[in-house]
Amino acid sequence: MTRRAAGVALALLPACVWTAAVIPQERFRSTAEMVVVDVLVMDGRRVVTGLTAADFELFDSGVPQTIRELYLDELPMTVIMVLDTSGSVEGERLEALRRAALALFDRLRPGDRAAVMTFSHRLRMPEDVTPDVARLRTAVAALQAGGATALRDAAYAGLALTGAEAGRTLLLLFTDGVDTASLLDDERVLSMARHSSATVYAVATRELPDVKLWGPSAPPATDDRFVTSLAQQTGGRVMYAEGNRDIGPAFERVLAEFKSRYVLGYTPAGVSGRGWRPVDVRLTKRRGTVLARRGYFAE
Amino acid sequence: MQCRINRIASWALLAGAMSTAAAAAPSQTPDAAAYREAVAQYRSGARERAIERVLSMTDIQLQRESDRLARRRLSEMTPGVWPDWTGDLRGAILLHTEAWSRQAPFRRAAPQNVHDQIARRLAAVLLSRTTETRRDELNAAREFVRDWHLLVVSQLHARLRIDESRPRLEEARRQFPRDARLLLASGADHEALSAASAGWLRLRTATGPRVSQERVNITRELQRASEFYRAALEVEPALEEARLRLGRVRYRLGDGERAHGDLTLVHTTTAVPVVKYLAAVFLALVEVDAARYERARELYAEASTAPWRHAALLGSSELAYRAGRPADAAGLVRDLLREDHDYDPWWHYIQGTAWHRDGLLHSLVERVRR
Repeated sequence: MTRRAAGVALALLPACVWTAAVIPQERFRSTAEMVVVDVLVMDGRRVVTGLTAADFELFDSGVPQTIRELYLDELPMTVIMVLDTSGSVEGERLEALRRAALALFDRLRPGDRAAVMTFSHRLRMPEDVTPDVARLRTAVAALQAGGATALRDAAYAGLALTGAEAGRTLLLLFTDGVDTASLLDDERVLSMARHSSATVYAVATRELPDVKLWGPSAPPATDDRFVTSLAQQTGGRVMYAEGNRDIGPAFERVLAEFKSRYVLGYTPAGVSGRGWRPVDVRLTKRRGTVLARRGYFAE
Repeated sequence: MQCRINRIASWALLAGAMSTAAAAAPSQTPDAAAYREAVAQYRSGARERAIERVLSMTDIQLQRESDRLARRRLSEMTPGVWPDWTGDLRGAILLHTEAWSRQAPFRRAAPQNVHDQIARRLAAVLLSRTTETRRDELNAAREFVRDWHLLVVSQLHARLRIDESRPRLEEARRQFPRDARLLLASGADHEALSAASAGWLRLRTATGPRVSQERVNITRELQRASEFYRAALEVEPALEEARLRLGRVRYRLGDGERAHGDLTLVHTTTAVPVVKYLAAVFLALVEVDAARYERARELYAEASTAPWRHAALLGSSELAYRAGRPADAAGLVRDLLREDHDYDPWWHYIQGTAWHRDGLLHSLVERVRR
């Protein structure tokens, strides 16, 4: 089995933005332009923890780079929660979604921040990015469901919001339906995802609302191809909830997995020019799959 | 004035004849009376009561009494008893259509609904009977039935029941083969399905019997939509909704140049705010793809001055992001998220002809008002 990485990931963040908002200043003070790559390592279905910088090798545009920093579960994070509140969520599913969101807020640490965005055909922001968990809880408690589903528009809006955030950002996208109302098409949204520094995790239901024709191995009832592509572009994953009761555990898995990711930092050397730069992260000493962004746009 | 007096006199005579005949009509059963009363209530404006009334009747009662109306039973054909038979026929068509709409669940396949069956039968009767009468009456009846078809399709589109609207449109086009509005509705039907995804089809398959394919052939649906829109414009070149939709469909098919022409034409000529707004937003997307960012920005800016601007702000944000201004893109999204206007034409455009539903119903109801 090769140690080759299955994918790559990364975000280009001007060091001044990154350091000012989130990271202890001394960490990146010496860098002019630090690139950070948010990486998940898996061995089969198990998340691999406890690795060091020496366990990774990183290539920027094919050129090997020196990993200067590695963080694991140390950095504050921003969670942009993008929740489907279309008509199909109404009722029991909305209650399950509320409980899942509230439980996730309980697991935020001091310094973490979150926002709640919802979508049906219309996009709303019940609570903007805040460290105030009480405000977030109030926003979630007041959620209502109804309307069509603008999944792609919502994904775009969530990504746009993450673009203004410094530091590690998790975009947690929940949907139980299929897109019926988006203005923006796949390519526009996926292109944005490639530019984004956020990591997208999607929680999608397999169970059709009000219809239980299939068992646990049912096909996804959601726009799985788009959602999967979106997550892959950012080095994230899709978690499937088999039913309403599984939404909460799926949210927990997302948060746990996000906290288990490594953040690799390096200053590009031997590469120049603007535009797309592919990045490849591999493991040096062990087997495993690396999930990460596939590259970044150098401005 | 003499003419008016004569008309009033004739109405008085008819009313007298009706009351006499009604009193002397022992053959009229309670069911028949209730049914005719419901139709009369509907035509007089008490629509809710009329709908409740027919919804409380059994299928057998409804079949029998609507059949009586359709056949104009000789026992009730005493001159003057049913002076506005075609008016009642039209009223009954709408009454049953509204009753059907109340019973048709959202996003579910329609059950074998007696109201739908009756409305269709009465519409066929209306068309067939008026062939014997005056030309203007015939035209009015044909226009009524055409608009009734459009109403039914708009109701199906509003419920995302695209698979059921298609056979209805085929039936309507057989009756009105070169009708621009039906051609437009047919194109919108294909365009709406082109936006449906595999998941939607699985949902429909699970809840209704008619969707057998696993995937929508998006290109084919868009091509069919384009054909229908072009056919509609051949019949009625000034039909701007057809031009707007043709431009949008051509854009989605990758024909940016023709899309640009169609959308520019609509954008510069329309006086309808909703059409102007959508044309600006759609045209801006075309301009963005052609890297004409400044023109796109102007169009979005113009669209953002409309009373609604959800779609315009979304497009503006995407343009800002493409232009390398992520902070502006995020700011525009925040503006969008703060919007409290609960309307954007885009939300209705995507539902096929659903946005015509209320207008069509109102127009038809006015035509049957006594």
